[in-house]
Amino acid sequence: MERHKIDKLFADKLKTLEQKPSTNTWQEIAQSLDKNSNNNRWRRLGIAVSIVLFCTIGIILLPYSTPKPLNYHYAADNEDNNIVPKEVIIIPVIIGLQPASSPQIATSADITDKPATGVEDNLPPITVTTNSAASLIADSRIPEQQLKPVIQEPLPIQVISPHDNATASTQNISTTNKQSETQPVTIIYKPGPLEEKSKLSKALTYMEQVRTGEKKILNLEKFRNNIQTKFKKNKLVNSK
Amino acid sequence: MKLTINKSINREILIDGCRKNHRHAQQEIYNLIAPKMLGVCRRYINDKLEAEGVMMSGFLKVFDKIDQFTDTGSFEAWIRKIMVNECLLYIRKNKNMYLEVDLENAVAEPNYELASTNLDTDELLLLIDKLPVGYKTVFNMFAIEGYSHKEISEMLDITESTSKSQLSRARKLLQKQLLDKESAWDKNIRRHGKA
Repeated sequence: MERHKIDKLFADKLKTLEQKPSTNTWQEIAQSLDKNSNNNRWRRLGIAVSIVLFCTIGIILLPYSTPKPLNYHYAADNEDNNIVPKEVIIIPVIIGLQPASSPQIATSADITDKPATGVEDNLPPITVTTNSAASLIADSRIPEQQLKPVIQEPLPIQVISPHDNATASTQNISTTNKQSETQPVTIIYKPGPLEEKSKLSKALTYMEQVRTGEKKILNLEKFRNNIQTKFKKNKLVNSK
Repeated sequence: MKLTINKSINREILIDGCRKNHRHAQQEIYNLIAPKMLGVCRRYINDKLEAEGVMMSGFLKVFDKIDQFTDTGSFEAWIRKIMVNECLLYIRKNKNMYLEVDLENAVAEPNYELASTNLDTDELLLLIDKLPVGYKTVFNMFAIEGYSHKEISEMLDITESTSKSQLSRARKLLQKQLLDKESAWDKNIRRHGKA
């Protein structure tokens, strides 16, 4: 497109127009730059102080934060090899302690009133197992006096010491087992400091449901993987 | 050639100094470019003092945003763009840009060669200064800076047709002013001829 003559006339002469600024213009620019630079320095300092404060407060408060509640959802059914989701809540907890020589039986009705607090490091893990349907092995560091073994008929859950884990599977203690063909499921779990009675109840209820066949675990590998993955996030240390 | 290379290297060093916020480098850049940039601002803003104020804020922006300058383009063009934007910002804040001025429909074509010979830069600048702000801004951006109507419409937040009409009116007013000048020269020649 041809350029308009009047545009060319003005552009040729004014494109290179130069005018000398006043002598004090640079001084004013330099002053403004100094001012901006000081403001930036204070702003950076403020940000740094805020970060340090934030981190310090975080570090101070972190040990007292409440642990994440253990609510996990798992579902499996295997009628005609179809997996039908069925929601269950699994909260494995420690429910008791039992000498190896004479296994005792625990039920949800007899859970200790005390929360499982007072964690100590040197205590042995405790095995809590259902009658061959599913088991919980808790890496308990709870003092022995806070654990309450319970006995009641029928025999929903067996509590044994970890050293007798091998013999536990061979003991025939169930009277109403509808799922004896199902392999045992063992979960090793380090309980948090703030486990509550209601959670213990829920865990026991679930274990009982598994044992009586109300809830089924037939895709065993998937169940184990699922539990293991989820519980590792909450200090689950091992799984069998 | 040697001089050009040295100049270019020198400028790179200065730009690098500006990035590190070295006041001396910033002053050098200012001394090199300020007269041209004041020329740019002055084309948009009639008052020289106000144009200087706009140029100052433009330079503050240049030094503040210098990290955004990529070495691929021309440094001067980058600064010029910032200055034009500053001028537009000033005009938007301070002036009613789009006043319409009554124009005679048909304006005869002036003798551009004669105008180019007889008019110096300052006289042409005065002619532009007489234009209404909106006309002047669009004329400066289109005819001198080389922006397209699309770019102008985006930068001034107006439609392309408004930009075109402002440019057309600016041209007509300038043509009229050039014709007035021509008739003044004619009168002068006649007067001198009689004498």
